[in-house]
Amino acid sequence: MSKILDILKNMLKIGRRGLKEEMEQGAWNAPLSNSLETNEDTISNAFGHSGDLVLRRLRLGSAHKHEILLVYIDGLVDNNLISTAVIKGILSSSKRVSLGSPIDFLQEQMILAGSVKRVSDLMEVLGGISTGHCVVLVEDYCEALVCGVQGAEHRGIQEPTTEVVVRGPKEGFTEVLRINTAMLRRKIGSPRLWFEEREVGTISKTKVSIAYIKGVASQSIVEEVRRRIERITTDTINESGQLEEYIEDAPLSPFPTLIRTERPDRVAGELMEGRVAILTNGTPFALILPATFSMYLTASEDYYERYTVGSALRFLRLITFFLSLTFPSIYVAITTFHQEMLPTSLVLAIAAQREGVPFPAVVEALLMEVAFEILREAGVRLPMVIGPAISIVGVLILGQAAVEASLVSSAMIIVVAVTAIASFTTPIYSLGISVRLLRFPLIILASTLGLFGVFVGLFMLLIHLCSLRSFGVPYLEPLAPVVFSDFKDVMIRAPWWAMDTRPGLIWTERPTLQEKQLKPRPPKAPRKRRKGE
Amino acid sequence: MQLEKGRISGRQMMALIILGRIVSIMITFPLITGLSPVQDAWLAGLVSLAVAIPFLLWIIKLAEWFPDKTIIEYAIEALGPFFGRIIGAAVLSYLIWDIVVATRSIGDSLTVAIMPDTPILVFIIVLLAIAANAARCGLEVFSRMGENSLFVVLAFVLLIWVLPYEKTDFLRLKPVLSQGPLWLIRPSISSFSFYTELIVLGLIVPYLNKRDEALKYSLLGLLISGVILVVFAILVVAVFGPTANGLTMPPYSLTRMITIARFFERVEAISMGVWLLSSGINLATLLWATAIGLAQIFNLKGYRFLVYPIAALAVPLSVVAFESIVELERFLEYDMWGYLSIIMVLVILLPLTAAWLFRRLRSDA
Repeated sequence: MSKILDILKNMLKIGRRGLKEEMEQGAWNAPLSNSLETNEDTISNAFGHSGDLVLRRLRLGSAHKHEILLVYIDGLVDNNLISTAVIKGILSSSKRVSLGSPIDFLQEQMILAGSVKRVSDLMEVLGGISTGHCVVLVEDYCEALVCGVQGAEHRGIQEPTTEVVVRGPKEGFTEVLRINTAMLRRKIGSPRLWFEEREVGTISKTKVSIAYIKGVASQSIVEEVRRRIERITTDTINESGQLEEYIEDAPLSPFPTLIRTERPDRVAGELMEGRVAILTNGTPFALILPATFSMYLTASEDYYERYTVGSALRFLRLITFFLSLTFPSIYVAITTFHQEMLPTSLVLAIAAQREGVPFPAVVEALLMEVAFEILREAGVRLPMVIGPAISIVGVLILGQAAVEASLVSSAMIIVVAVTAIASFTTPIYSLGISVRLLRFPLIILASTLGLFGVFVGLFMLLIHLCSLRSFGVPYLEPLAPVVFSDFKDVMIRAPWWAMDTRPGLIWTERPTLQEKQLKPRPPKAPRKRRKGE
Repeated sequence: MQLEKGRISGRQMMALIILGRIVSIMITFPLITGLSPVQDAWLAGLVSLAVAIPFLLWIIKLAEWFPDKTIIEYAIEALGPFFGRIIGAAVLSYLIWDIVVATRSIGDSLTVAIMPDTPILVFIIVLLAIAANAARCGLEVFSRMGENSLFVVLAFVLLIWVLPYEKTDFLRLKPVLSQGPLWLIRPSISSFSFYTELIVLGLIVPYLNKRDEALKYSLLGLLISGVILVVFAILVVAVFGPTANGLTMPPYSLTRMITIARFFERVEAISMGVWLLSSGINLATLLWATAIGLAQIFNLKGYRFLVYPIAALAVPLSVVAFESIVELERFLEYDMWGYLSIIMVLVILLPLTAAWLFRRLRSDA
């Protein structure tokens, strides 16, 4: 009876705890054996005799009495380092191995790699091998050395492709977590920059790093991030977008509640404001949180250009955001229901264009919007070489020919084009995608209820935005609830010398950014006039 | 047991007050329509504002005498479970009636002004649906939205104050008090009904995050909305002259007067957005308050599930309550609404105050 209960308990346990225990604590949860032969077999079996697994036998000591096994994965390690720091060290040891254990001898005197860890657990050995370490095993000893000789090939630091700036740093994150953290360290030269690393994904074991500045970021938000990341018990995390879906506040909302960026300068800037970043190994996209809506309309260049330019650009982006969301629907509403709103000559012009068009404005709008979305998607997926072909097809067929064939009016082409161009000004791509989707329900509302429908749609949207939170911080933060002191960095970008405080509602532990009165002034005492001046 | 976990700031409450007032100014404006002589409307507005201030103080004081409790809860506490619930029911019936009037007036205005061929039922259903949706999101969410909508709405109000400047002539406000000062009483009563809706504050004040801000911000909200009322009363007459009382929607007509350089015309389409924004939030507030009140009367554990049924109830009520916008406006003028509101408010507030005084005397003795 009790046996059955135990089995049931175990089943429940597996069900509840997920795959973690089942996968890992099964076959491999064993100590190392002291026979080199057995260990070799176990490791090689664990990797399924994969072709990239290198097992090499060496002998140590003057009498070559200690047999040694080197295990690493080809391609994950730095081959140079393997030969100079490990193999050379072992082979050139003409000295007698002291009376102590050869493991101590190897660890303390022979292996020249930066980090050497001594383990006795099979799991740790296997983990070390798959993360690019070189494992050294010795006959008759049930311990192993895990040496850090990682050096896989990777893409170098390049200019970020999704967020381009005219002025500002040109480097972007890469796929390697270590390089990314180093790039942040280079920007913030203080030990206060903390990286908390976690492994997420029971099989993929993706390294995820929570970055924040101790003493600036709110500890409650950091704690919340930790909690949300630790509850992920999936098998794999491939990209930060996947991580985002496990930790965001409003999983069903069309709006993203985390910022993704591949610019280290942006991440550094947001960290300095008291936010938290999550870096994921294997992707150049970092996540920033808590995110507020205004951050999506902010490019890092706003902070580098002079503040008048920055503010004007902010304003422009706000307008283009509304345009890209509502322009087609307003056009449909006005041409269908409220023609009287336009100046007479314009109404006549539009009516003349629409004369031969067989569809109502809404069909026309949906048609062109969908056509444009297809074009855009094709442009992204296309191999570089055929790029020009698609633009010719797009321009000639969807533009000129469609108008000449009276399928659509040229006014509609203009509307769709303006909307499309406006939507490209959104600096954070993920918001742009959401807006793309939201346009369609608005067009349908406009075609049924006119401007009233558009306003109803916007009202619902606004209520939804007001109800969103990102890690506890209201999404529309300085606008709703209204925080006047944070207006300095929303629609306008205040000059740097006027940004004395960090944003208020993200509960930063260090509210002041700088001293007041940093505004540059000409020297007070007038310079003595020289002769001739 | 706390039904609503959200807390709002004093400024957000102020926004709710102002938006609620702006709805009835911008749409039906009962003070102006049908008033004769209309030149003195702004004086009546001032008088009613002066009366509204002690009324507001009364509501806030009641809330302070029974801290952390809504008007329904303290009615039950002060008057016992039976009479307390009757008073609570009076509050709720007033609120539901208010929802009906507000819905109907915006629905009528939309039909008359913007889309005459659309049946009013469409507007009523859509409006109550989005307002109920907002109310379900909780007090915090729609008052946050109210706070930032207030900027848009006030900016628009300023726009329609300033832009018809070509057509204003303040001499049209003469003669002042042609019927003698006693004449002001009737329009002041009808205009006072404009403030009695503030009884809803009895349900909002306990959810402020800083209780001591209640008086300051509600008074500020009252004054701002009073000023808006008076300025509109002046401007409408200054633009349209003595015939202003024949307009169905005076501020809307004022908006239609705006024309700049023959290009910037027909801004009244924007006024539809402002109507929708302010009345959506106003309706959300009222629906939320009714749901909270109902939940407290019946000791329910939640209120959100009540919002849609209440809104659904308001749909047929606001369709059948009035024949047309004319009947609605007559009702809102001095036929009934003013007296009804005042009686209702007295029925609600007097027993509560008496109970408090009685208690106080007993505890002193």
